[in-house]
Amino acid sequence: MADVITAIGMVADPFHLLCLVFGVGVGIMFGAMPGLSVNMGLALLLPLAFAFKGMAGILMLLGIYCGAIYGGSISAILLKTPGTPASVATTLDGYPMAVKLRQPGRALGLSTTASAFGGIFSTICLIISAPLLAKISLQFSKPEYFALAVFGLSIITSVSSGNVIKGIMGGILGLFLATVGIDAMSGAVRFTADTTYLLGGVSFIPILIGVFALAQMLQSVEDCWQKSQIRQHVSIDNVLPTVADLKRVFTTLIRSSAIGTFIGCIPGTGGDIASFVAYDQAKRWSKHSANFGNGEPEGVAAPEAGNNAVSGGAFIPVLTLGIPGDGATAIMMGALMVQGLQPGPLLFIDKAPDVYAIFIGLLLANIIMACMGYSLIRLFVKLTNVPNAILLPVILLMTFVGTYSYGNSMNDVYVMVVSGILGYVLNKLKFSMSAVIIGIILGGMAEQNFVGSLIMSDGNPSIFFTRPICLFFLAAAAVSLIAPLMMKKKA
Amino acid sequence: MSLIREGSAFLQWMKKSRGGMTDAATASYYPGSYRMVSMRSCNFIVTLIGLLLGSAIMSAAARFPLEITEQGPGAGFWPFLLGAALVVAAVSLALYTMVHRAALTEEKVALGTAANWQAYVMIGLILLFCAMIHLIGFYPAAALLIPCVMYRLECRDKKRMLLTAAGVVLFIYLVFGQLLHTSLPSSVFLE
Amino acid sequence: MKRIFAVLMMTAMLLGMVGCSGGADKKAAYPADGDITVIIPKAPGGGTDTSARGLISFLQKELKGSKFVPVNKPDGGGITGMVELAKAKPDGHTLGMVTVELAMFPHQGKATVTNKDFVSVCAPIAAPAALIVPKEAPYNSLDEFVKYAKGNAGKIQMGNSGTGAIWHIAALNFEKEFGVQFKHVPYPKGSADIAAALAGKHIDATLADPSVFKSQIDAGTLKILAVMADTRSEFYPNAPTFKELGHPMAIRAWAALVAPKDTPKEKMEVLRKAAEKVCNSKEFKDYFKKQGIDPTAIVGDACDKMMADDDAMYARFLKK
Repeated sequence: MADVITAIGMVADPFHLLCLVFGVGVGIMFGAMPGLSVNMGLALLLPLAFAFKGMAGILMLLGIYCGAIYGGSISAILLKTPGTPASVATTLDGYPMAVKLRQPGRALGLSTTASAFGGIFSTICLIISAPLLAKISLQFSKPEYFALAVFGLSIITSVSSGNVIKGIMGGILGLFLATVGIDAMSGAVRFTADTTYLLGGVSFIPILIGVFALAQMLQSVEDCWQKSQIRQHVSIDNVLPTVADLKRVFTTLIRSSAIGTFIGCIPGTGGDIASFVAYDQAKRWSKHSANFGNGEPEGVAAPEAGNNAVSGGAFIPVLTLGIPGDGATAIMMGALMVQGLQPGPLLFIDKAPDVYAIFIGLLLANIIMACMGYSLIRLFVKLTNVPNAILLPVILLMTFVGTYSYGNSMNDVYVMVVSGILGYVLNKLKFSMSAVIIGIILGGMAEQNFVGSLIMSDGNPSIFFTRPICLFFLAAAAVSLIAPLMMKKKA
Repeated sequence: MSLIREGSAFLQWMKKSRGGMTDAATASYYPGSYRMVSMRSCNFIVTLIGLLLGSAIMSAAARFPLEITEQGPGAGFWPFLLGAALVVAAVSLALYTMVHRAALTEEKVALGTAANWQAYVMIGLILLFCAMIHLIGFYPAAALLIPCVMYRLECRDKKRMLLTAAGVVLFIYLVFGQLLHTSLPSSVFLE
Repeated sequence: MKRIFAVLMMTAMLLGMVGCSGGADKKAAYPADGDITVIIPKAPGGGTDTSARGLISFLQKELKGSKFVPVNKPDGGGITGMVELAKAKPDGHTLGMVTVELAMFPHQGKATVTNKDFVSVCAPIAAPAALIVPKEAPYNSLDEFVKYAKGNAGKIQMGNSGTGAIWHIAALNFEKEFGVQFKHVPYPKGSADIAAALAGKHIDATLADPSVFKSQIDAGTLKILAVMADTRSEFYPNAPTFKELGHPMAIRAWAALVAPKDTPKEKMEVLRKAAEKVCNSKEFKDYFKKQGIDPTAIVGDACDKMMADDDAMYARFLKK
């Protein structure tokens, strides 16, 4: 108990709180801008974090981490452009709610609430059950990762609101794009057409920006001409979600946060997978599943709760095992170590106050993030009232600048432009770009763990069917795929 | 023959409208404005592309080892599977299209309408922009692009164009150029 | 009112950050006469990136008035960045990081740049391969491990960070030196995954950079049997080196700050002198040690020699 009080004292210092607020603000900005990633933000402010002695630097980094995952939803909802890969699923219902239903404030309010809920839920899980969840995460070996990837891929059927076959084709295309480059499992160089650029694989972020931001911009150009600016002035009365909305999304929030926490605690998986799985599960279990894709509140709350719940979950392997779950947590682990906190099994014993300070920091970061989000919603909604003649050229330039900032390469920009043009055409043909993106995100995980499992089992495929967790996810994937078809037959 | 007629009508229209699209009558000169493609034919084109792509992937993958040995599957196994899956998906799309023939012929895909051409012209502008980035550098090209795009979007207020161009370029310079130290490309001639 | 306040706060934050990044004076002597771009051919936040940023922040403090600007160029597997560095103007204002992959890729047909295209400043990190196994493994020393491996050919699952990558090559070297055979299991996402796999007992051993495994080793769930370095590691003083045990193998994953090969000697001298001071300073060593990384102070010609030696070694080993 004394440790907790020390921890509160550590965090309540005004300078530390300022660092936290600063971090959350920077995080939201980095998250909202496509092309700027949370890793970039952390790497840039790391020297600053080292300069601040004590918890201040760590609190700042925690703020960036939580804020960035939330920030991506802002551009996802308003511009159909995910600011981070974790917000792709938010575009599916967030953008229709903002544009078709003309309720951008409601969408942003739901997203902020869901993000804060997810973050706080996962932090509580971290505090209560970190060792237990860590034990479960250690059970995951290559077959389990493969099964999880297959489960993730089965989401393609629920995300392709148009034609399921076209969704699958898009997914296969994405999976193929993920194979381009040096195959880390065999060392072979595949499908690079002898270019150096493709040796590192197809650049994911430029394609993401292209098929979402640029394609949407081209679509807006087309819509602009047809409707000639029938953009009514959108007014917002409520920034906080209504009680009716909250009742509607409550179970979704719990379910999505649990999914996010679990996926977060498995090393190597992140907010992108969590948000898709959360969206998919919300759709399957919802009473309003037919409304998904048309601005359903559960469709906005689910992915946002899922991806922010990863923030607490990802700290579980870091703090209990000393194993970072992804790039962002690896950077933060480095920062923790420089401050003298050695993450791992000994941390809770040796440095309990600091650990509690991290917990409190995470909770506060989510609360501050929510406050900032709510207070800025009116400002963000004003963005939608900006005339298209100004908004669209700005978006266009931002796609270029964002893509270039990512890798400092004009090749990335060309990839972005080509993806944008293809995305525009494929959208017309009712292909789902989310399916392609899911394929690219999960392609590496699926293939590498498939091949790896067979290496470990000497080529024996029964390894997939004799391990309980692996079997569970494969079965869940099969159920996911077959159930909708069964439902259709009934109706 | 009709292609040449359409082509010349298009050129006539281009001269007439001089970049603006406010006249509905001139819009009818647009080639293809009366010809919307049906989803059915689009699906068949997609099937064809899918078959070609799938077989190309399969043959490219076959150049790598395919068998599953004690060292796991060869590098070509998974891509080969993907290529085969793509071919199967393409064929199922064709079957689906044939089964739902009526509904899909009804459904139209807007690829050649007047509205689409707005987007195509914008694509042209974007490609031109890419070339200009090389020739004169990013900031000058951006300053030129913004007024052009605004003009295409029916903005005629010169002050607004100037302000937006100046404001956006300044913002990018401050945030990305100075703060984040992203050195955006400069003219090929200055290198 | 809240809205205006929020906007004002954001503008203030932006301007504050812009103000913090000062410029350089064009009339001063090198290196204060302009920004020095440092090309990092890896994504931000990774091991090479954080080490590089750490090194250049120390160099910047040492060389008054200089401004080092890190630029990440991760595409092409890092090769694009290295090629661009080799082709850059050798005026001392473009530097870059290169990793041990520079010594490996040319012999695997993946790249045409070699160490001969660069002249080095210093190498702040050179992580040796360490043999790490789970605590319950039935071997407690290198010899016991080799004996077990000889009796169980192809059964020991040895984790690495990718086929053809450095730790796999280290394991192949080990096989050749001791006459054993492993089953190589690649973990392409990096050493953190290998740590998770070892902790979960899904694989039997790994030869990799020990810094990622430090928390587990300190907690006792993993044990380190030997290190492929010339001197014992400060963090694991009980782990003998391969050299001590009669097998002088040294496979290191180094990252070096280099310049294009025609950079004028005087500018290189300025950089090398500063690097010498920085790499031997206490703050520099503390910065890396706290992250569990054993920093090295390989500066100037010693660094060039290390790059050349490794290049020759991989040429011999990979051209088989």
